[in-house]
Order: sequence, then structure tokens, then C-alpha cells
Amino acid sequence: MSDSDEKHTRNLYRSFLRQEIKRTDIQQAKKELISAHFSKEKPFFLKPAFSIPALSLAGAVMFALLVGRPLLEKIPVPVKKQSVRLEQAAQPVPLVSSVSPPGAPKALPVNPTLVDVKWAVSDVGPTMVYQKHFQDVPVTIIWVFPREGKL
Amino acid sequence: MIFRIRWIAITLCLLFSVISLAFLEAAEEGHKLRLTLLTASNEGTDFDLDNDEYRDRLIQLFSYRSYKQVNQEIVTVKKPERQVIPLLEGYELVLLLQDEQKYRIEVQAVIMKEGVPYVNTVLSILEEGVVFIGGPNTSQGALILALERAN
Amino acid sequence: MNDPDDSLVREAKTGDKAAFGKLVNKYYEMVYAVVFGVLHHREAAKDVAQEVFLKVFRELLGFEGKAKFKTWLYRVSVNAALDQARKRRPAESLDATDKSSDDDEPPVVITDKSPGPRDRAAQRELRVLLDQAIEQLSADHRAVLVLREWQELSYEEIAETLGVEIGTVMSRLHYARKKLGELLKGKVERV
Repeated sequence: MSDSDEKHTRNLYRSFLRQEIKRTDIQQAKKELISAHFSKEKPFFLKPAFSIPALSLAGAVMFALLVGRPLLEKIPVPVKKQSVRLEQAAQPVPLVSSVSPPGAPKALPVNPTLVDVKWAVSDVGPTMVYQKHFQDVPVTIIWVFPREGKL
Repeated sequence: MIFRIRWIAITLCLLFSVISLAFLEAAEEGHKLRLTLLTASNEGTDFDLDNDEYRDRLIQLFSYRSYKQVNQEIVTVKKPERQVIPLLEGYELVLLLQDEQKYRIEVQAVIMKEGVPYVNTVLSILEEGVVFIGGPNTSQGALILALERAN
Repeated sequence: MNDPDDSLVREAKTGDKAAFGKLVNKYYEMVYAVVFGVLHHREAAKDVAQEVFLKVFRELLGFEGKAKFKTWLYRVSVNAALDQARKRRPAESLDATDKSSDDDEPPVVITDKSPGPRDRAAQRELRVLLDQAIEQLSADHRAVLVLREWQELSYEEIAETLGVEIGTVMSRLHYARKKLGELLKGKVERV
């Protein structure tokens, strides 16, 4: 292959790859990877540690100013007390049944996994991950089997 | 009326301060992990462990005859610090808090010797989860590390 | 070693995902090009590129800085791509690119000076020819080709990356170039 042919082929190949990496779906995949796994931590004022109490206070103050204050202003002047006479009920009131309707679903117990091994790797040999239950409490084991000559 | 609203606002501000401090303290405190380092071998039949629950689990999980506790300590993990804990005979454990949620923490645990990762794992641990990681060979037997949340 | 990425790598080692995100932003195209160069399959290359960055972030604690971060990264990339290529059964054909989606993509820009302008259809045909030519190579040949022609590594560096002898690198590269040249020769001139 002559030098010029080799150079020509190289240029074609590089142009081909350059076009490939400029594709919009490739750039989109890059952005999604960064935002899903490697994005910046939220600033302090957006973290729940600050935002929950801050929003609660803001809500409470807004409530006090916008709803509470007008409500206070609308409270009527108390009427002079009048004596109230209780009358005996003519008949006893029948008991209302408190049994829940049939077919109501029961709340199911929640058993979240106590330890979830996201991943486990080793440079010295294969890794095994398993769980065993002890009186309904799962214990997780991560065990490495080193190959010959490695540690 | 205005006097009453002022008092409500002052009370809310105080409440906000208390809640914020509590959240901030919780966020900065970090998470405690109990590490128990054991060696397991077939030399004798010792069960020299502080935690009896481990004894039953170890007997059922592994086929070693003898288990000895080498060390136990409480380690606090918080972002972005790495905790490096020496284990035995050049092995060390590196812990790094990766993520924290309401009831779970995600921790990366690496057992290394001379820069070679024996095991590199990321675990998501709920409040009562326990994980056993093992087992590099040492002169005292196979190392087993028990890792769990500590209050 | 004077590594331009040293400070970002150190921050990322402490678990700082945003610092690693900057490294991803810097090297994604390089990783993707290497992986695509080996696999010649767009969807598989995207998946493997993602896996490479996730794996590198996980194993960053074990990265001692003996080599530059970029060097370590492309080595992980090419080996991950070769592993993926070997997993695929030989009977499966690696469908090169989705040609139907190429209609909206800009044409291949040939830097080589040729008399007269090339129209869009001719450029598309050239891309198809190149696809077919590359597809006829094995993953091992494509690996050598992308490391030499795209990453511009020396023969020694390619040999070290792939764990083969320098002679093997040279013969694979010679074969890959010859094969591409044969398939494109005459057809390029005709177009």
C-alpha cells in the first residue's frame, strides 16, 4: 500500500469517527450519563436539611399573614351566654356498626432488604455474594476466592 | 391583635432555629458503623467473640472450627472523608460514604493490601443490616470483617 | 508524573462525583470513539462507554497514578470493548450503524483534496462503504486500528495496552489498513 493510499485511508477513517462522536444521540448519552451518575451536589439551601424548615417557616408566616390575620379579624363578638336546657332523648339512638366493609384489603407487611450489595469486585479472584436467613433476619456474605499466587 | 401576631412570628422563628439546628446536626454528624474483625481457622475450637449472635451465624455460614475476635471499633463515616482502618498483617479497610437517605446509607468498603484491592464493594445498609466480608489469609487464619450500623 | 487531570482525580477519589463528572465531560468522546472503533455497533458502544466510566469511578481508589489518567482510561475502554466483542457469538453479525437514521446526519467531510465538489448521495455511499469495510475486520484488528489511527499511540503503547507483542500489532495494523484500502480503492475514485 502506498503512502498516499495509507494517508487517504487514515483520513477517511478519522473523518468517519469524528462524525460518529458528533451525533446528537451520542452527545445526549453523554449528558444523561453525567446527570444520572456524576452531577453536582445540590447547594446547601436546596438540601432538605435547610429547605424543609425554611419552607415550613415560610408557609407558617404566609398562613399567619394571609389567613390567620383575616380570620382573627372576622371573629364575632361573643354573644351573651344563655342557659341551655338538656332534654332527654325520646328513644335510645341505635349503635352504628363499626365493622369495616368486606373485601377491604389488609395492609401488607413491608420487608425491605436490610443489606443490598450494589456491586463487589476483586483483583485477586472471583467474588461471591449470598444471603442467609437467621430467624427471618438476613445476613449478607461477600467472599473472595483468591487465585493461585495472588495474595 | 398586632401584638399577638408578633408573638406568633417570634415563636415560629425560634421553632425554625431549633429545627434547623437539629437538621444541620444530623446532617453533619455522619453515620456510625460497628466493625468487628475476626480470624477463622481450623486450629482448635475457640469461640472467642463478644457477640454471641455472630457465633451462631458464623457456625452456620462457614465451615471453620475456630473463631477469634481480633478487634472491634465504631467508625463514623461522613462525606467526603475516607476512613482508613488497619486490619491485620498489612491489610487495611477503606470506607467512604457514597450516599445517605432516610433509613439507608450507601458505603463503599475496600479491603486492600499494598495497594491491591482484595475486595471492593458498595453496600446499601438499612438500620439493622449486617454483612460479613472475607476472607484474606493471614498467619492467624482467614480474616472476616463484620460490618453493621451502630446507634 | 505530570498529569493534567491530577487534581480532578484526587477530588474524585474522595467520592466527589461532580469532579468525576468533569472528567466524563472531558473524555466521553475519546472513550466512545475507542469503544465504537472496536465494536462498530452504536448501541453496544454507548452501553460499554457508560460501563467504562462507572467501573473507572468504582476503581479509582485503586488507581495509583503510575500512568496518566487518560492512559488508564483508554486502556480500560479498549479492554472493555474487546470483552464485549468476545461475548457476542460469532454467528451474530455486528450490525454497523442504523443507516436509516443517517439521513439527517451531516455528510462525511473528506479532508483529502479532490477535484470537484461531492454531492450528498456520494458522501453517504462512501460512509456505507467504510462501514462495510470496517465491519469485515475482526474486533482485534479494529482495536489496533482505532488505537493507532484515532488515539495515535505508538506500536509499543498499543502492544502494552492490548497485552500482545509489537510484531502482532504491526501485522494486525498492516492487515487492517490493507483490507480497508482494497475495499475502498477504486470505489472512492469512482465516487
